[in-house]
Amino acid sequence: MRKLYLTTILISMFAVCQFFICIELQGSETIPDNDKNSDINASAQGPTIFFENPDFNFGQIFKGQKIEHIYKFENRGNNVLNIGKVNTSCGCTAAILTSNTIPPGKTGEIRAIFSSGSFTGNVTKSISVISNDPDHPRYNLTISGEIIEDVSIKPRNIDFGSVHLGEKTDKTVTIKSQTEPDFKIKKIIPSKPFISASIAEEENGEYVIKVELENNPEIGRFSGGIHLETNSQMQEKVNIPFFGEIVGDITTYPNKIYYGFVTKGKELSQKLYVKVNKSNINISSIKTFPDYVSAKIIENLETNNPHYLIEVKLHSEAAIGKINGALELYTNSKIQPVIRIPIIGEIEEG
Amino acid sequence: MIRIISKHSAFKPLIIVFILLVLSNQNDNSLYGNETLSEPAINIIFTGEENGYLEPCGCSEKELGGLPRRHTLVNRLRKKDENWILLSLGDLPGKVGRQDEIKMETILRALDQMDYAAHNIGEKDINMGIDLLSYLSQISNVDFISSNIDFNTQVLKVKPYIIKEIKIKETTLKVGILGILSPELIDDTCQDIKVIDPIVSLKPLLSNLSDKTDILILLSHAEIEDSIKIAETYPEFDLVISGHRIDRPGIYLTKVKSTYVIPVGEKGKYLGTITLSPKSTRTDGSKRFNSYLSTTETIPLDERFEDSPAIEMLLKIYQQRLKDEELIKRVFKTGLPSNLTFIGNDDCAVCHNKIFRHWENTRHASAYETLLKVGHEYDPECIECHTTGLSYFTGFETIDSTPGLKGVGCESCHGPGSNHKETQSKDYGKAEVEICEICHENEHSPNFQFKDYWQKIIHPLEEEIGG
Repeated sequence: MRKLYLTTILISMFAVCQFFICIELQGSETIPDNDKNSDINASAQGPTIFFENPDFNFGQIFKGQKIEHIYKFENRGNNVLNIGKVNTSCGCTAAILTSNTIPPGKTGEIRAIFSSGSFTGNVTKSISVISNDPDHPRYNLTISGEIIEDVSIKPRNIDFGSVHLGEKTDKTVTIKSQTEPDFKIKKIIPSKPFISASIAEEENGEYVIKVELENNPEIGRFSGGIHLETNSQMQEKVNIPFFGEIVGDITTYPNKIYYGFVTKGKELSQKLYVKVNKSNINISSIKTFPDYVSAKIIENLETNNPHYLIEVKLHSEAAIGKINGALELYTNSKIQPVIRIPIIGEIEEG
Repeated sequence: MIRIISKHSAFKPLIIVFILLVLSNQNDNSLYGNETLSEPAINIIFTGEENGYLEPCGCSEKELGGLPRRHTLVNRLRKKDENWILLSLGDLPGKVGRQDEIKMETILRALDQMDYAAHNIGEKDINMGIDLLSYLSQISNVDFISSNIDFNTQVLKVKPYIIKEIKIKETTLKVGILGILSPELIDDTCQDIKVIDPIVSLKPLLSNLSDKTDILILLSHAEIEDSIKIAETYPEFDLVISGHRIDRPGIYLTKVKSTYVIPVGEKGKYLGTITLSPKSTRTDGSKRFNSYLSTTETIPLDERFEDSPAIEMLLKIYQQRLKDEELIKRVFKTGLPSNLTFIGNDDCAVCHNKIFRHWENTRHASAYETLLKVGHEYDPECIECHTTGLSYFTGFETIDSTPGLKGVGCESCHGPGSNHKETQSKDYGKAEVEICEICHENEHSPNFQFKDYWQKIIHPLEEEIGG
């Protein structure tokens, strides 16, 4: 009797232990093993989910089009198949299940809708079917194909690169429609006042747009978009992003140092990269404040990519409260004699 | 032994339970690496193609992924075995523009905190401009690698490969990590770089590395077919991590000759792990291991993994930077047709007071406050669906300049109301399902069904207004 009692306790301990381990492992997945060629298994114990065609390729479609596909499946086991969930891993794909419960020998459907609006090129999206099939608790379906744009833009982004303060520069973009023989650009609107865009050439529906950086803005990075309105049925509105940087004699990255909320007593350091864009320009001194912030040049290269790498350290003695400090670089540049890098953060009680 | 057990039958249950517990603990290893394996092994964590996805925004329950959860899982894995090698396939940002520049820097800082060994350069990283990429390479502690691109700049710190040494017990394993970007994925108008066919560029590197390393891994930023081709050409690779635009790491795991090819997944919603165990131990400096795959796992980053405070702090700084740089003010705006303008809910309320009072109690009305609660009110990607008319002139600009347009107001669904206010025209007021679906799309509103959701906001009948 005593032995039986001991056995019961120990087996219960094992069961509890096993239960917790199972919980821990639930989220992990082994490599999927969709058995696409299994035959009807009349002797299978439990339910068996079976998809004849788990992978669907829609071929080539235009961006913005929606694709709908029905995945048919069958319960080839001898117990009721319960579908717990149908998960899509992308917001672009919706999956609707006709019924959660499929008796043995019966079929079910999953209707998948894929929206191509945010893609170009080849894509593969997956749908996971979670069921009580002991061999395939997670069955993976895929929907794949190529998404092409009606309006082709070359290059897709306009990178002005580094433009020296005061300089003007321009870039060209070629635009055409793949389906509209009488393609027209109706409107061109740049998002920034210092950028202008106009049609430079037009031949047989192929446009060359000249994008000019004119009124030079202040030193620093800039970005925006050229907004086009076209007569394309599929892409009435098109955006061409542009970006670049207006540089002086010296470029710093980042232009602000953020430490965030820091527990009192903790020491943190960040790197500041200082690029020298003109010969004979150098840093004469560096000042930091408050005094619990220090700066040290850890790398100084004078030829081939002249630059400084500065370590900016927040020391452990920093007082509780907002930092609101700065690092100042004193240089021999006429246009940038002092470069100020704000230092932002807050020291909190531990 | 059996005889001993039979003699002491009272111990039988104890022995059985002991054996069962030992067996159950072996299962546990599948999630937490192979620390108990007697042979030395390499544990690899692979992620990539974040495409600017920092964390679940909170719009819907059970969103996967996010850097704070990733950090927590990495820490848990490291508690079991500190020798994990973390690899990033490439494509940290999603699109170009200032917000994604800040995102890219934020993700890199997170990879730095998680102690990633290498980041392979993807085409979306390049799309941000070589200048930015160069600056980031200078301030980041994560090694940037690319084995097939010549960058026409000295500012960019990039290596053709790295060798990571892992010491396990008495053995030191040398892991060579290379990275390529498919020429097919790069805009051919990019003048600052020269892209070499990976099959050509890898050959000299491999002949140099084969004798110096025990395991070779390729981060192949290419479509899976191209990665398989590389694996076929160079069986020297033990593992090729690939899968451009394949959304889950688990699908398409392939063995090509002796090389495993596995996709990385998208947006960091999953974390992939692989343990490579050698078949034989090295006996001299020149012999390489013949590795075999002992375990591979795809771990969905769900609510089981709490947010890491360190990475949460980086995301707070990210939000602070969006605020400081006033990115909401930089949102590109277009004109409205026929000189229409947004008038705000208060003007609508003059005639439609009953509807207005009903609306005030809906979640549409408090959509802006929802963002305030999570500190995302300066995030242009979030605020578009929590205010009225952000992308149009006369629409929402800032909470100070256009307070009447906060929340999802009347004009979010019905369009700008200036003309209707003047004329009380009857043709104003219709709202199509497609308008709802701009914000209630599957990612942020997976349960959206117009019929059900309409019930949540159905307007009471208003008394007929004269005219």
